[in-house]
This record gives sequence, structure tokens and C-alpha cells, in this order.
Amino acid sequence: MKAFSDLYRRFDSATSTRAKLTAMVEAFAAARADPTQWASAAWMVYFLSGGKPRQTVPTRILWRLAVEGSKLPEWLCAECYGNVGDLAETLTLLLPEGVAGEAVSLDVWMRERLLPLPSLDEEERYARLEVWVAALPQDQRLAFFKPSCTLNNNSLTQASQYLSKRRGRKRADMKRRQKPAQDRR
Amino acid sequence: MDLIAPTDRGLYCEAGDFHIDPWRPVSRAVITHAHSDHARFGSDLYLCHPLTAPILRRRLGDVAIETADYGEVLTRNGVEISLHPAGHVLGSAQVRVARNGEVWVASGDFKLEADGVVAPFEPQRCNVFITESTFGLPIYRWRPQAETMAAIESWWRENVAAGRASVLFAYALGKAQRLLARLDPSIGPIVCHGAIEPVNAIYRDAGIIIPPTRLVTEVADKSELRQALIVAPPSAAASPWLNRFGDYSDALASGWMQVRGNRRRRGLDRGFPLSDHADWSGLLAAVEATGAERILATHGFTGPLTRYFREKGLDARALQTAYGEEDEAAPGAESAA
Repeated sequence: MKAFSDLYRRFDSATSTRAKLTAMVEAFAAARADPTQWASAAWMVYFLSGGKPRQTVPTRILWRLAVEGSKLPEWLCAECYGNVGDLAETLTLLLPEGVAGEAVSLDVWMRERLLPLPSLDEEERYARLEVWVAALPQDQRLAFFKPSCTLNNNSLTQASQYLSKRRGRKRADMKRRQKPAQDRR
Repeated sequence: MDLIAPTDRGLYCEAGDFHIDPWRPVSRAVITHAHSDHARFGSDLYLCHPLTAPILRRRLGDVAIETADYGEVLTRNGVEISLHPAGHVLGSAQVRVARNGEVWVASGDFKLEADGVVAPFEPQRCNVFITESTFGLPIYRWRPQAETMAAIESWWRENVAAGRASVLFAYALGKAQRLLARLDPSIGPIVCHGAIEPVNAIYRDAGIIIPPTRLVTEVADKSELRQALIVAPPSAAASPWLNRFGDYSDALASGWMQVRGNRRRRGLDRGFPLSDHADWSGLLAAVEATGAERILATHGFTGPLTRYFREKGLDARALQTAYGEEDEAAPGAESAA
């Protein structure tokens, strides 16, 4: 993931095509020298040529991560998103710094983590995402979120509705639990 | 009645008959710092910290100035006035106003991290805190200064290795001198724009160590420029002044660079988020340290910040001022952000 993130950052900070080309040449030369990097390099080619895997993390889960992960009120997250204009970057800026875990290659990220996600249930998907992101160094998060986030205002509205529904359910659950047992039918 | 209230001229203390950072001419103006949106022309008498006075004179000409050191208490009609370090730029101060045990503090602009250049922020206990909120959104959380300086140094080194000049845009008063005082001068020669050099002189007179700097006209051997760090105000971007540097990389040091879009819209190679304003965590920490039960927020993201405080049970609301209008209110503007 680090090689991909470094390349992403160099792309992002370069305004000239020549600089972007140099960044690519260097990144792929480094990957070529190390066979364990070949599969990740193939993923880099996939992303660089505009490839997008079928949505593995829906916007509603990313939005929930922004709100619950930052421990900020949802309206404030929405203000931030409105200011940044990009959910991937908003997430990168809002989530607290994690404890950097072991380095995970882009190939493992994709094949072992993200691609199997859609087959899991909602809670499990969220729980895994939360753990992975917490262990991802701050400077690699943008490169992770960026290809995962395809957001339009419509999907954010839906994400927000989803979150309030979830909260509604939670409140109802709590009320049920608080009620004396004999009242439960 | 409130000890300090907004008027069409600025924040006014009626009991002591003075304004704080007025935006129109008044008889007595207490000045937090010398940025142009806080210190404006036309008042009869200015009161400020001694280190602000020379900058004020340079900007406003021969005006009447009284000075007060940090912590020195002046009394006027039973109202105590004192200045306390704000950590923003040279001579920047918070204004503490007290009467019959009630204490108000107007922050001016401030930052919490001690930058090793100007006197660091000292929180004052008060009942009412008038705070700035330039970066009052949680996306604005600064990395430690040392980390950002290291990033700038590594950009400069890369450019030296590639044989191109490093043009660093920074606000002429405060940010430029903070960079000059903290960056490693052994990387290459340093050239300053004509708007920055006079302020460097004022900082040096105040005892702040700034490495040797030159105007571009003083560089005889132009090949030196390809190793040089060139510090210029943001207004110099895209001006013909830059043509002489040939192939160069440009960057802006400003809190607004936290958001990529702000950098990309300006077409800059690099953006370094470095601010002389408090970030989100800094604003929360400052408010907590004052112990104030009432918060009034001036320029910046006043809406979100005050709503956040209200939800935490504080009495907080936005205060309409003209601060930030010329300067840091909008990304891309001149001066202090």
C-alpha cells in the first residue's frame, strides 16, 4: 500500500506530465526489482488506467466511518465535507491518527480485504473497515479512500438517512432493553 | 450591560472608552497585532505591544502610539486593560479587560503551538472569551511545526539537486519570518521579495535570529538562484517578478493548504499547511483553558464552532466583525493565514 500511496502523492503534487512520468518510471522500476511486489504493481497499473473495482465499500459505510470514527456530530462532518468537497479527503482529515500496524501490500488489500467485502454482512464490513483504517498510517489513507469513494450528493443524502435510521434502530433497541422483562411480548 | 460590545466601528468598551482593533477611525484603538485587517489607519491614538509599534509605524506612518508590555496593567475609568501573548506574530497580544471582577478577553488572532520565534500564547482565565475562528472546522488540525519545516526543507533540497529555484509563498508579516527563522539555512542561499525584507529587519531589531537574506537585485551571480529559496508574498504569484527565476518549483505555506483543492486551484506544485492561527484542537483547548462560560466567535467558521460549543453547553454565538475581510477570510487571500 505504501508504494501505491507514495506514487499517488507524487502524482497529486506534480503539475507537469514529465514529473508524473518520472514518478511512474521510478515506482515500477522499484517494483520490478522485487518479485513480491509484482502483483501489487499490476494493481497499480489497473488503478492508473482508470480501473475501479465494483463498489466494495458503499458510501453509507464510509459516511458512518466518518461520523462514528471522528466522534463528531454528523452535521459537523457534513460541514467539513461541504468545505473539502471530497469524501475521501474528508475522511483522511477527520479520522484520528491510528497506531500504525504492519505494512500490507496493495495486492493483499485488494484481493484479501476489499474484494471479499461485499459478501459479508453490513456490521462485519464496517467492523473490518474500522480496524484496517485505524492501522493505516495517516499518509496512506487518501490513496486507500480515493478509489473506494464514488460519491455524489444523492448518495450522501441516502448515507445520512441510513445513519439516522440506524440510530433510530439503536434507540428502539435500547428502549426495549430498558423495559421490564414482563412488558416484552 | 456588556463590558465589550460590537459597534459599527469595532469592538467597543464603553466603560473604558476604547475600541479593540477598530475597522473605522476612533479616538482610542487598542491593537492586538499589526496585520492590516486588525490595525487600520485613521485613529487618534493606538495602544499596542512595544514590538508591534515599529510594524504599525511602517504600515500607518507617523501615528500616535502608546505601548504596554505583556502583563502591564493600565487603568482607565476603573477599567483594567492588559496585553498578553497571543503567539500569532511579533508583538501579537490578547486584550484582557476587567472591571469589578468581571473579565473579558479578546484573543485577536492566536495560535497555540510555540513556534520558537514569537512569545507563545498564554491563556487568560476570563468570563467571556472573544475568539477568532479562522480555522474552526475539525479538518484543520496542524502537524507539529518541526514536521512541516522538515517537509519544506526536503522540497528545497530536491529542487537544489534538480538545479531549480524554490519559490515559497508566505505572508509578508509573520509567516515569512517564522519560516526564515526555522528553516535550515545551510541548504542554499535565501532571497526575499521587497515586501518581506523590511519586516525581516524589524524582526532582527527585536532580537529574532533570521539568517542572512538578500533582495534578488543584490544577487550578482544569477546561477546562485538555482540553489536558492525565494520567499515572496502570495500576491507575487503569477507576476512578472517571477520570470527571472527560470525553471522553478513553487509552494505556499498556509493553513489553507490543508485542503488539496485549495492548492490545486492555484496550480501550485506544493502546499505546506503551516498556520499562525489556532487549528480546531487549538481553538477547543484555548476556550477550555480560559474557563469562560460565554464565547463570542469572530471571523472564520463562526457558525460551526459556536454551534459545537452550544451543544457542549456553553453560551456561544458569532460576532460580526470586519476581521479577516482583507486577509485570511478566504483561501488565497493575503496576510496572516
